[in-house]
Amino acid sequence: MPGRTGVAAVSAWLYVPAGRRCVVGAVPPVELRVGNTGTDDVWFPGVLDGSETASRFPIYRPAVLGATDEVVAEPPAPEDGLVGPLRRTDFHRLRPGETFDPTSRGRFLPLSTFATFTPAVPGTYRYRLLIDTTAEDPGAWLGKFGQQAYTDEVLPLLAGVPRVRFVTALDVDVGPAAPGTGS
Amino acid sequence: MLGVSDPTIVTSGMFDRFEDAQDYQEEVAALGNGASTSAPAPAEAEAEVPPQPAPPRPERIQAPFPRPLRTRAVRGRYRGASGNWRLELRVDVDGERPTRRVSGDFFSTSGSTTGYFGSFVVHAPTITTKPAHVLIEGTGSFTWRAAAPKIRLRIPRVPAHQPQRPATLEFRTASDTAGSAYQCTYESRYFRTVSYEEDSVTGTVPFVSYDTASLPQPAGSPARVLTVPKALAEAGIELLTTGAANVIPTSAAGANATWSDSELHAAMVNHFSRFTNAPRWQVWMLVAGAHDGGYRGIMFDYEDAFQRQGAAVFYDAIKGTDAASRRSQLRTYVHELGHAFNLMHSWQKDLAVPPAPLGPNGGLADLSWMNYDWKYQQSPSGPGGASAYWASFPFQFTENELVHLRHGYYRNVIMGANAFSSGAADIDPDLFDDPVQDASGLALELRSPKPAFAFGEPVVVELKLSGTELRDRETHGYLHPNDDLVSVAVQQPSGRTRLFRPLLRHCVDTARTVTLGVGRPALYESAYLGFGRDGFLFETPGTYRIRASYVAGDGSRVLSPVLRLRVRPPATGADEIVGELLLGEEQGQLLALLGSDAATLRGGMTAIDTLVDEHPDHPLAVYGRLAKGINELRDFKELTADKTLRVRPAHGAEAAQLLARVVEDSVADTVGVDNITLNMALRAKARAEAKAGDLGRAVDTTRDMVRMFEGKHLNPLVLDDIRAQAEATWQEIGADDGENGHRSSEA
Ligand SMILES: [Zn+2]
Repeated sequence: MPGRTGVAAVSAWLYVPAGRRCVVGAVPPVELRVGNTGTDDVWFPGVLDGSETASRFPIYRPAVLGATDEVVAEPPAPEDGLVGPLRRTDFHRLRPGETFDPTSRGRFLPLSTFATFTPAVPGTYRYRLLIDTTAEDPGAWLGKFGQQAYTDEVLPLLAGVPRVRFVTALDVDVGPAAPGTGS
Repeated sequence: MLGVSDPTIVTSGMFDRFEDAQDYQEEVAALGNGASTSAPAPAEAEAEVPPQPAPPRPERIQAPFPRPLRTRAVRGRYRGASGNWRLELRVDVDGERPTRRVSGDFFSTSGSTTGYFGSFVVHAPTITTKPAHVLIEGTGSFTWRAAAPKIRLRIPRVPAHQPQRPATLEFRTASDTAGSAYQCTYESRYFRTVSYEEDSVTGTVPFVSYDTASLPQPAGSPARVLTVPKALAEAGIELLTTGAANVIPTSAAGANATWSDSELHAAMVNHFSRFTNAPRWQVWMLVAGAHDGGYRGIMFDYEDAFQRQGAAVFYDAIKGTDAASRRSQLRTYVHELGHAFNLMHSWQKDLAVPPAPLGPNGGLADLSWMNYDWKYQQSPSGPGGASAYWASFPFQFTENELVHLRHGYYRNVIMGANAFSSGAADIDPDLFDDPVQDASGLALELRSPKPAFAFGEPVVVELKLSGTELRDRETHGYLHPNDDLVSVAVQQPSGRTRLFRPLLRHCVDTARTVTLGVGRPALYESAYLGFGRDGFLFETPGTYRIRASYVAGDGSRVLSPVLRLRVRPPATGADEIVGELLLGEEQGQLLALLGSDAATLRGGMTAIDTLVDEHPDHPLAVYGRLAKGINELRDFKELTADKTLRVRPAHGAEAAQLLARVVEDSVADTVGVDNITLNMALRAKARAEAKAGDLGRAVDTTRDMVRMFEGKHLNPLVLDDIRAQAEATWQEIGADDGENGHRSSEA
């Protein structure tokens, strides 16, 4: 059940892998993919240090809404802006039709809001994610430290990132705790 | 640069060695005197604990070896000296959360200055407990190639109520030859001591304390009241609150009332009473209203040459008097101070230079002040978030962070030294390192004649040496980097630091004595740094940091503040062509030598001719004319391939014409060549005119020189020097003339 897609040549969708159930007391296994729906190769960044709190581009800002659209989980105010350098490895090359997971462990950061939100009551939760790559100023993308060694290699890639800003969302049905789980 | 090269080797009986047996007897006697509650000391053979292999890291307070008597913890900071060397030693094998390490920083005294030399750490020592002392042995990692890298450290065990007695540290070579030895006096139970100044902005309320029992906390975390200094003290770091707590008006944040990082830096410069651009154990904290980025806090000093000196927390984002708010405030304060000690976020450790290992789950599982509570997660699919963090967080740094705070190499930890995230010294340790103490009475300054240099433009800087006291100070007058006594380090935009190594190095003695004082407050020199033995130093556009060091007559090492200068990218196609014409290897040599007829540099001379002929009105053509003009003024001697000496006589008229244009293009400040080079060019022009037979014009040139500099509003003493130079040039012209058979008739 893919969610809404975005604009331009890139889209993104949240999903729960087939066969997985969402129950109270456990983190719903919501995953994310970004795909190239255009006709040219594109470079697209994954979730980086500061993306989740919108402290730097790319912005991947998540929120979870409850039954009455109240926000039940979202990143807090950013602690500080000391985000790490933007490097070539932070970009994934997508050929037309290809997709990737911008939160893949070991390479990018998880979206901690989704990765730690544990619903306490059954119901439908709306997972919402803002993806924004519209900043043209490299300063809005580059890290606050250790950047100098990588600037030359990332500026050309940055120029080729599709500038998009869209929200993708997914409604997740959370059932009662499975018998025997004790919650 | 420093006189003695290695503090781990014997230099000449400068220390006293302690005989084991004698020392042992003393220790036993000392223990016997105070140990009223103890059983008789067992025989050494029985009491000896076998050497321990590198153990698993103790997580909690735990003594790593049995203590038959209640003795003082074998832990803390010691201080020793040997000859010109001073040692700060840290012993960490006992007490709270021991990391089982020994480390130290060496400082060297030269003349009236003391500078940092290097650091070492022994990561996995063998610890042997004897009745009267603890013996710690192992091989250290050093910031230099130490000749004697093995250590043997003996620390007397003393009853808990007695003062700690001196420790003895001996260095040994890999083949077990004795190196140097240091007797070290106990100084503190803290490994490092940092001055802490906290100022606040009008309307904010600084955090005071949090009782860890106010909210549920993990079972292993004892209930205690934590202040910011107390939290650091638990890590073995002493924060000494210093300076009056100033209240800063909100207007300092600028018109928008929220703070940017640069406004915070400016506030630090204005309000941190101890602020200095140098490595120092001191940090400033500002309690401000709000940051432009909406942050809770920031270590804002991450951009300039002396980073990590200050941090801020933002009251609007963190305020609240309930327990959870105060707990979060404590975390934010300690977290930002952690950055000032060069600790990175838990998930960023692999971005350090060199990279450090990440903790579990990509670092997100670290229970540390340096993690974010909401990012905390035990495992990729395990529990996480703020509530999970606080349920498990015992208010502490991780083991690896403790090792950094307590034993990290000096420059990696001290504020104002290595850049944030940089743990590796890519910097020449002798340069960019401030003396810890400077009583030389001299100050060295680097000045740039213009705010920015064009692409390809020869970079010339001015060196100024002055006295800092009213009384006269005698030293030598060798101030040019071509002299052996001045060194210049250049940090390029890439971050790489290179020493300027001149094409021609002058070895000097120190006989050229000058007295700096009321009569002559300063010496000046101009140096072309653009090209040296390693090629061009300023060939790419960007910001450069330059620092010079001068070894004074008494051996003091006087360092200049860092000069930042910018090389602009070419703005036009012509700028690019001209820049490239000046940036050839041979052209670099020609600019350094101010021209040459040498056949090996013919290609370079052709490029300079092209510059002057095809781009006559480009601002950088002045440098081509200068090199050509000075070269034309010389009788150029060249030994040809068939070993005959060919002399190309000076071309006075051509030289005079070229130099006249150099002068014309440099009259206004910040265009053309700098003042000191202009002065040199004017005198060369006068000599060229004399060589061309026009003595009248030559004398006019020397008079023009005086008038021109009088118009530049220079220091009167400098003007006196210029008048004297004009006089000397005039006399030189006359003498030259006499030798050449002409009559010197000008008055
Ligand atoms: Zn931080």
